[in-house]
Amino acid sequence: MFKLTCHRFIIAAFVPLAFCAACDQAPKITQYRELAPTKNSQQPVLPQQQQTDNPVLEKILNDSVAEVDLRWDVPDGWMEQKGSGMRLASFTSDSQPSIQTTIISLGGMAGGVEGNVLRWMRQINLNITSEKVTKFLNEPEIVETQSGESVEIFDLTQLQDSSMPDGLIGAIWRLNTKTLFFKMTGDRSAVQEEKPRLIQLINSLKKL
Amino acid sequence: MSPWRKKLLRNPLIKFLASIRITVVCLIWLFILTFWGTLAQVDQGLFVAQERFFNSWTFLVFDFLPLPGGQLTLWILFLNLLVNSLVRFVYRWSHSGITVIHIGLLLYFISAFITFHVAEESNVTLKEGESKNVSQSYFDWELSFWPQTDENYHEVTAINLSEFQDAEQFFIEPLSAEIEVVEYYPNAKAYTAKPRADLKDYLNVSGIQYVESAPLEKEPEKNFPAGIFKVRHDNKVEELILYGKEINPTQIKLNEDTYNLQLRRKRFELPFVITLNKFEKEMHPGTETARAFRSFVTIEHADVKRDTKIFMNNPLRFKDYTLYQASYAINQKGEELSTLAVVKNSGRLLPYISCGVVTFGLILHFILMAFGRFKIR
Repeated sequence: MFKLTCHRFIIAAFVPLAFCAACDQAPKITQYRELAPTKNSQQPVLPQQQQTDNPVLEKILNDSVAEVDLRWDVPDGWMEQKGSGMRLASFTSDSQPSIQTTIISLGGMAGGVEGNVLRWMRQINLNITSEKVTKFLNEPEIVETQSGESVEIFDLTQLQDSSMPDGLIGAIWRLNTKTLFFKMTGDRSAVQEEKPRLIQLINSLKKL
Repeated sequence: MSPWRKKLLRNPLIKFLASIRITVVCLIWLFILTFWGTLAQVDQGLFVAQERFFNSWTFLVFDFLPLPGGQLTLWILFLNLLVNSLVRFVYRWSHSGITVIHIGLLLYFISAFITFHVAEESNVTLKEGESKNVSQSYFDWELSFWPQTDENYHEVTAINLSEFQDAEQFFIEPLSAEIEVVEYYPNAKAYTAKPRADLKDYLNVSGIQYVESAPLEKEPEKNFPAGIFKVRHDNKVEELILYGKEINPTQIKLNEDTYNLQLRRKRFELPFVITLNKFEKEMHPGTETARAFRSFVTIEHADVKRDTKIFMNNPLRFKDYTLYQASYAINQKGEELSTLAVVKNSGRLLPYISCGVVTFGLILHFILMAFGRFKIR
């Protein structure tokens, strides 16, 4: 009886397993219910992604923006796209399609230099020791605008090793009541190659 | 040996499958695979090495030589054990301990099989105060649609993008629309500028107008797909581009209704709502490296709420689900996000049961051996 039970168990185990192995396929179309995100848990929206014809929402979005009257010259080989809200402008490169450069204006300190540089480091998964971070923050490259003001450039590609695919160069212009952020992202080698054009853009900045 | 077992053993296939040589070769090969696959993870990444060496039936070496993968080897070992239990094992009360041990080993194979086919791994990332009832896949992507409403819940319809074929069309009943996948790149780069002015314009919330294929990353969670999709409804056709890195969905209007479409990581609906109340982290002194972090959460199911804490070595278990504290991140606003790994495995108790059966078999065998020796004296 014990022998028979064992044999039956063994055969009974094999048949459904073979059947399940043959039928293992995920359905192509599924339906499910998802909790709608609450307003305060929604992901931050990049200005380019804001598409609204709701004047109330438009006002809320624009209230966060710090208006600044600025003029700049578009570097050769770059194309400008008009911005909206906090994004004053964005640029692409003719020769390096992966490059995207933005100018964003925010009121006040907007998180400060350290907070923003650390955030940029996290965006490109750059992990370095705190000593290197401190040294990097204390020794920015300084570039002057046309109106003679200093802009700090933080070239994160200098801290990366060659295996890291994405590069980022950020620049911060601290004004009295607002802060302007310049950020160039793309393939690491392309970012390094386009750095002179970013500096050229910053050099051309002039307050009206 | 009983006559029917002798008859079975005369069958060449049964004789081959019952060979102890197969057992030895399979065990040695499993040892080699484990060693080889572990070393391969360094260059190929964890996921690729796991799929190539352990989850595959066969894999190629030097691009032409096929070798048995982990799945094939384990199936052969399982069949070997199964056939041996039918034709070779001695079924006497004095050998019941050994029989139980081998039944436990068969249960191990069954539990591995069930875990492999039913277990789902995903993750959920929450901000303080945020609630979710879905987790998301690490590697798989879906094309999701849901109507724009003010309701607390979205009714989402999703197409599993790892299963489609080129130019395949799907009829989405809630939209009464047909979706065609025109082009799909498992990893892609997206641009807001078109490389040529004569290329057509696409609908996209982020202004993306051009996508191109990119090489697949070693770590598949770093792949971000893109696709061009056609939506046909009432003789109207909308063509849109969707990219996996977009935060917001693209909206289309079908009749009077607005629908959201998004290319995003595949979602799994959870049988509960999880809310992150508080996230705490401790850093190693003087560094930016986290020493420990914990999430204080509330689980809500069928109007019953339960507050609990999730941290390392202290996961949350709920029915077939286990939630582990996996990592944390800081978003663009500087807010901390807690990431919990979610494992759904309805066969999670089977390995413990198998262990128990094998242990019982060992104890039984030792007792029977000891009793037998005592009796001889």
